[in-house]
Amino acid sequence: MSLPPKEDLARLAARIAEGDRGAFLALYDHTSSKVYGLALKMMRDPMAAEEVVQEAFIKLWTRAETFRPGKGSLLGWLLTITRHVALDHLRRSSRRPKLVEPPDAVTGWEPMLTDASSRTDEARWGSLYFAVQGLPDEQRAAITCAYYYGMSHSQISEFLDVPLGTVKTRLRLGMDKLRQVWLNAPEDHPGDPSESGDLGVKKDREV
Amino acid sequence: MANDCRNIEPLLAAYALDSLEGEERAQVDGHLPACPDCRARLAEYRAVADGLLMAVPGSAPPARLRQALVDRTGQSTDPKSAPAEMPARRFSHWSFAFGLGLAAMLLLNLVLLQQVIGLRQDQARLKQELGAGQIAQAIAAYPAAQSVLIEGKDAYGTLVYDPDRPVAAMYTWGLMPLPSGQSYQVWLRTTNGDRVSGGTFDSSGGKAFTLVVIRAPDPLEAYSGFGVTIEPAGGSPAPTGPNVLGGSF
Repeated sequence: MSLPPKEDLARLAARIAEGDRGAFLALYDHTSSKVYGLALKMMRDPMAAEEVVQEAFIKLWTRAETFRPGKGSLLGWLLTITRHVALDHLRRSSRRPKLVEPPDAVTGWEPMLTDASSRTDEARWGSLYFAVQGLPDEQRAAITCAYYYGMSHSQISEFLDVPLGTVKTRLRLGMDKLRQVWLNAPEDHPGDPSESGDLGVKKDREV
Repeated sequence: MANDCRNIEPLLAAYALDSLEGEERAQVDGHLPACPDCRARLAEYRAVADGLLMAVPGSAPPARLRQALVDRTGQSTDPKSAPAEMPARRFSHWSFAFGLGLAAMLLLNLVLLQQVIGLRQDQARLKQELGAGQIAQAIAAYPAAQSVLIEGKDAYGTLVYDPDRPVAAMYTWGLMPLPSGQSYQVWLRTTNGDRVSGGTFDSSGGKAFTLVVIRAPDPLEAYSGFGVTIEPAGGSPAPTGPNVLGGSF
């Protein structure tokens, strides 16, 4: 289901804050796919992902009045809640993440890549997704561990069995490449040849 | 960028990803308020981090998830009336799986415990039988050992004894297993007709014969005969039940 405009989502948030259950379910219908996708990526387990999604939506239901449209989108807020809930679950379960992911199914973003002029949200998310997939494996692994699995520098160093300095370098180089794609900003750190990566689409490489 | 920024800027990406910890995080926290360049760079990294939330392909959740939310939010149509914290947590799939695993382990432990108890009972019975067999062999080896036939309505056997000793070995065939609460009791008949207990025993259920060691207060030459009755478990001071076996010395 495609997402409604941001303004509509913001209005939904206001209605949810007033206790409108229909608005809450409408929001669920429009956003649950994104929320579940994120939870699944982080938890690597459908049942655990379901729990995370449910908890995230209930948090939104009970705290909708704290949402401030001026600070960001409702979807962004919901996904931030989802990430925090998932990280809490991961920390509680002490589950070791898996870095070998099954290839994503069809993302729906592939056709947008042919339209370089598209600046819709969906197109930008798709570009960023493929930019992440295009990162060298070691940079993508470091970013995945940090952001999706909530690991600190030292935990990543131990988990990937690389020195701390290498973790910092990989995070910085990877994030700079993503920053370039996301903001169309110039690349400040060309990086050394061993750490550089192609930003093109590499569907056959998954972390 | 100032010199400070050369040290801080490489940390900003990790800072935006919530991966920085300890002293380095404190360094960034201390530097940011006074450095607009680093704040601007951090804002860009944070925008990327926010984008990473969106840059995950969607996946349709199972229909039961929506129903669960319908059920949970149906308890209160006004979110303000809901508790500030999460409502009581649903009995989770993990909890269910954990509970199921625990129950299975408990069941397994009970089965194993039962097997251990059964094996210990078997071990005790075998030990008793082995002891009785050794005593019976020893009695039969005495030069003065004698044997008499034992007869009953449904059972019969042989008693091996030495008249000079207060112990005998009794082999019986055909004794039926008794219900719980009952046991067989051996009686020794004195020459003046009194009955003296020679001990209680249970029949060996499922086996062809029962070997019992009889222990008498005096050498067996002091007795004229013997018998076996069915008594309450633990035995009686005097015979009360039916006589199932008997014989004379």
